[in-house]
Amino acid sequence: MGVSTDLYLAAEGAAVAATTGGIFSEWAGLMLIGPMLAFVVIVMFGKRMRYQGAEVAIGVMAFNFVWSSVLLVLNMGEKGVLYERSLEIASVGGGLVFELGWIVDGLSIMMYWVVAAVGLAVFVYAHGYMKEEVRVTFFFAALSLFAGSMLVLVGSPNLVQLIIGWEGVGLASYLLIGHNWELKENSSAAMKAFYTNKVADVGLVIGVIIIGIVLGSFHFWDLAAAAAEHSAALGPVAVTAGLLLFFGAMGKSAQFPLHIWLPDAMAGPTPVSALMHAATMVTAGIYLMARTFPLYQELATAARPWMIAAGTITLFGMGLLALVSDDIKRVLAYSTVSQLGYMMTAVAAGGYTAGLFHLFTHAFFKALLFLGAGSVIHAVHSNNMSDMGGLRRHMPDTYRTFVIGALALAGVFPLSGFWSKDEILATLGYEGYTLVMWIAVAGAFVTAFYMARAVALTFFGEYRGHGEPHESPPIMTRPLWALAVPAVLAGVVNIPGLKLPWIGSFTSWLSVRSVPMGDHHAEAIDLGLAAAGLAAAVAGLWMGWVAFGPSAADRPDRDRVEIPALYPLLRQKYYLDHAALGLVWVIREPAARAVNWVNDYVIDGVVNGVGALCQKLAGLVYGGVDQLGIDGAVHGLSWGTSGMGGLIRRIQSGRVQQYAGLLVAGLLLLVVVVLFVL
Amino acid sequence: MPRIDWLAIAPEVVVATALLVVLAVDLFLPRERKYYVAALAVVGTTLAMVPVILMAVSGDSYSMFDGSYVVDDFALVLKGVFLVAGYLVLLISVSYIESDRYYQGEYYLLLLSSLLGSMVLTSARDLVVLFVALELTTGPLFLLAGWRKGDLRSNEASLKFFIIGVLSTGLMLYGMSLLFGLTGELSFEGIREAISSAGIASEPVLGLAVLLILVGFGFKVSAVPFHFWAPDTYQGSPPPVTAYLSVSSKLAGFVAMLAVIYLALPAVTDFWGPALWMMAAVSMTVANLSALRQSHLIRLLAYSSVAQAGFMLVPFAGGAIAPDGLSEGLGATVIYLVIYAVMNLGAFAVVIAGGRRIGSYEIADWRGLGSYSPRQGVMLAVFFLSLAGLPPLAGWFAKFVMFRAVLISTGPAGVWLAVIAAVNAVVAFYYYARVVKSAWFDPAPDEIPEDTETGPTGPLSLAMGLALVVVLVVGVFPGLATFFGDAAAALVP
Repeated sequence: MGVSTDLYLAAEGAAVAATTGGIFSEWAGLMLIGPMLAFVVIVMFGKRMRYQGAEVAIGVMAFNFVWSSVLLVLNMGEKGVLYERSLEIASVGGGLVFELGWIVDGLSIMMYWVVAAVGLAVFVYAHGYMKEEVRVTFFFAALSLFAGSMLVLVGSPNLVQLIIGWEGVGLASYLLIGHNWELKENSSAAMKAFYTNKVADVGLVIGVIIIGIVLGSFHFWDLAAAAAEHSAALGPVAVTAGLLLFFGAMGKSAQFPLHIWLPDAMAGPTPVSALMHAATMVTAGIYLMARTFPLYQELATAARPWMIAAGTITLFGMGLLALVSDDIKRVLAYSTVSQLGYMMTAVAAGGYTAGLFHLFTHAFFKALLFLGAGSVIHAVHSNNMSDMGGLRRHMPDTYRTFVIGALALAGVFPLSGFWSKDEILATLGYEGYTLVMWIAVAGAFVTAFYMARAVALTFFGEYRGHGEPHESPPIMTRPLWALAVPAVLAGVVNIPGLKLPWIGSFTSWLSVRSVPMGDHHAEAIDLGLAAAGLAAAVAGLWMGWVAFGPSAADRPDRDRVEIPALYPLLRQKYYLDHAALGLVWVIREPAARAVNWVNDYVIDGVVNGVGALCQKLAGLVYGGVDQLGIDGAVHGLSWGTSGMGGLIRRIQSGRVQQYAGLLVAGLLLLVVVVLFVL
Repeated sequence: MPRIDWLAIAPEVVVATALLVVLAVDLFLPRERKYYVAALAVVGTTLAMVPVILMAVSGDSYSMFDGSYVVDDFALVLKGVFLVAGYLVLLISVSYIESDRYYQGEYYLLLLSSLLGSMVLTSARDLVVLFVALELTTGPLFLLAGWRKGDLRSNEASLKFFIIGVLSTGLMLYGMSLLFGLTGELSFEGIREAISSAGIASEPVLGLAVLLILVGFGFKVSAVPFHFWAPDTYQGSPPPVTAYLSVSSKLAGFVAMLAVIYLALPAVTDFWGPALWMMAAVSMTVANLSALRQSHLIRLLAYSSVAQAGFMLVPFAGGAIAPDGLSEGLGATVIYLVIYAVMNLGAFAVVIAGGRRIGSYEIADWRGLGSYSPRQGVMLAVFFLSLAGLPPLAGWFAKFVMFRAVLISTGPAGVWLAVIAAVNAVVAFYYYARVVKSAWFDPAPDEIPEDTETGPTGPLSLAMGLALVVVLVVGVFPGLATFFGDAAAALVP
């Protein structure tokens, strides 16, 4: 049985009433086990099932959705849910124990629900989308593994189980990104994702072990309690451990410069992208930062400027990249990277609630946008927006839901994205990061701009592709509408100053564990700031529309502007059009191209360079040191000239003597270093 | 006449009896019935487990011959590991040895002799017993490496192994005689006390002795720069012998090193600490980088085993740095040894089974294995990813205890070694994953290799199945491995 919850609450000095949640908490582990069992069942029996295993995957996700919804409702209101259970699996020596279990509190309930809700929509959609694809059984098995690993990760009461879930997510994503592995591009994208994450994992693993050794426990509770008490043991290594954990989070959550794998990961089937960008995988890093929030808030404060810097570069720079992509999924991918930058910046700046709130709302509208993009790709058989256009008339459901998602992402009042972005801006302002706040406002402008561009190029103007596009079947459009609802409404739970009678507030959902030490949630909306954010969004939308809307194609014919609200504005202030275009040019051409260039050549170059360097080094070590320059060709040749003579010649040529010589040289080197140098 | 406790030496007696029975029976069996010999060897190994388990349950420890021969928890754990490893190698060997014109009876005789040597080794508590046991372990392997008599490569493997082996043994003996000369003692306990009472722990001559002894052990465990024989010998030997070399022979080197370092030389950390730190760092780096270039599976496994030896040396370095790190380091190494033995034998079993079907050990020829033989494809993925350390396969726990043992010191030397090890773990991932990728993600060749196995496949499948179960169960319940580690760590005084 796990650590007492009293300890935690006492450490906070907060009197937050909590219930245990009854059987729904006591058996919450079923949600973690379910998808894992589904994975095994589908692998073993999927091929013999009627829907090739999809029914098992969807069934388990539906079960999770119902279960987590009950927990979510229980957690609303005055009293939250707080429960934890750990089973000791092994003593790993040094007083450390390895435990598996689950935790039920505001943060994990939110994650359970987001994974289940988005997962259910994506699984149902995938059942339609994958109909004519290869290896459907394997696909659903891997999807179950993906969701299951994420649940193991977010349900973990300790750091070790988190690593297990973390690696499981990485493995499943590798299998899914490379699903169509016959294409070289896909399997190399899968490799890139896997290795980038693997490099980042080094940081996570070392960080976790350092914390475990110093703290004598892997428990999040103990970590938080030690941080709250400013533990003398943890103090000296806190910054190192914090930065190492952050390095791990940078990989999963695609923070600059470890973001490079995410845009390439587009190679996977679209439902995978939707799941990966919304609920599983990329949110893991943000989740880790939130779970270990007290460490950064109390002890590892010196790590926070670095985290904010990485987050800010990510949120602005990667948004610019979305402007120059023609591939619709790539636009959305850069958009995800940019939004993850918002979340990371917020959490690092002390905005526990703000970062998680954006994670919460973003999950819905980004899943919606990806599924919408998948629907479009399904119809036009191309990822390129230059092959789209005018789809509004052909695909009304996809069009409407996509626009809802785009407006939510742009942060238009009163959709969910508006509230969560405003919360981040408010937190940044409150914590005194004024410059970062204004960069974030500029980022909001860029976000709105590229979404307007994507909508305009995809759904307006004339159709530029081949054949006659059709709306996708209901099994694909229904999940779109299902996601559109929370994309519009999810912001309601956290409107400053507004407390709904039975929902409570998002802050109180999450603060049952009373983690947010010094976390700020505005009591009333800051109208000026909200207006600035909204103005940036509207300006971005408008400029995007002006530059890429249907009128842009044949500009002289101004009367064909199709949005009446914008039309008089455009006619009266015609010169603004030029200003907008000029500004667009400035942003689009030099700035975005420069960032793109840096991304393509410098960062990819560095990564590829490191790879090439490793290969080169390997060649040098193997050829020069290990095999003394006798390369493979000679090696093979000497075998070709078989017969005793060849063998003797090789021995005579001194290889064994060389080995012996090196052995003695190695010994002498050791003697010299150990006895004389050290 | 010293008192002999027959239960304590029962495991060795059983193996020695089996060995003699194999020798005698082989004389009277016609060629087509030689597989009885294999069955006898397997039975002998299994029976030897009985007294080991009995003693482990009773919990007593036995000391004989003035303390030169001790059966304690450390010895029992490692006797068990050697017996299991030997058992698996016998299972792996059966169909391979039967398939061609090999000398069967002698093969099992030599394998059992080597096994007997390593079992005695676990109980050796003085330099002479240790040396004899270690040579009994290695000697038969010089012959076995050349078992494919008609194959030049096998001859070369044997010869190189022998020449380098003799050289390193000579250097090691020189070190041991220096140690004896300095302390006047042969038993580990006597040496330890003599060093502390005479206050010679930082005497340069003692350092030279320690380093010379490490050369011998470095050869056995194939640590860089004493590893040059390994890739050639591994590639040239019959694959079941390679499996034995990469597991049991390496284990024997580590067991000897554990006993000498932790029992005789715990006070001399100034000498062996930095030496093993460097050997660990260099072994990991050189072997992993070299492995990246390999296209031949067995050669790849050879470099992999050198790299794994580097990982296993890391806890020694950690033990030297941390103030009370000795038992931590010993436990970590033993846990790593136990897990490595099983997963590496599993990997070899798959490679041998696949190699017999595909007829090649070139990784490129293994493409698409998963599509036409999913069972072997899954086994390959499990064992290789376990070697890479991916949870929840057993290998992750080995890596975990290794990192903990070196990070416990929290000094810069420990952290640097951990960073080197971590970077190497990522590099290693690349070549293990490359094999799995080839087997699963590359399209199968147009002509799918037929399954032409004629010999008995049962033993090989059994070996793979056993290893698979252990890798999965220990991965999820690492407490099982910790149990062995804790038991063995009681050795540290």
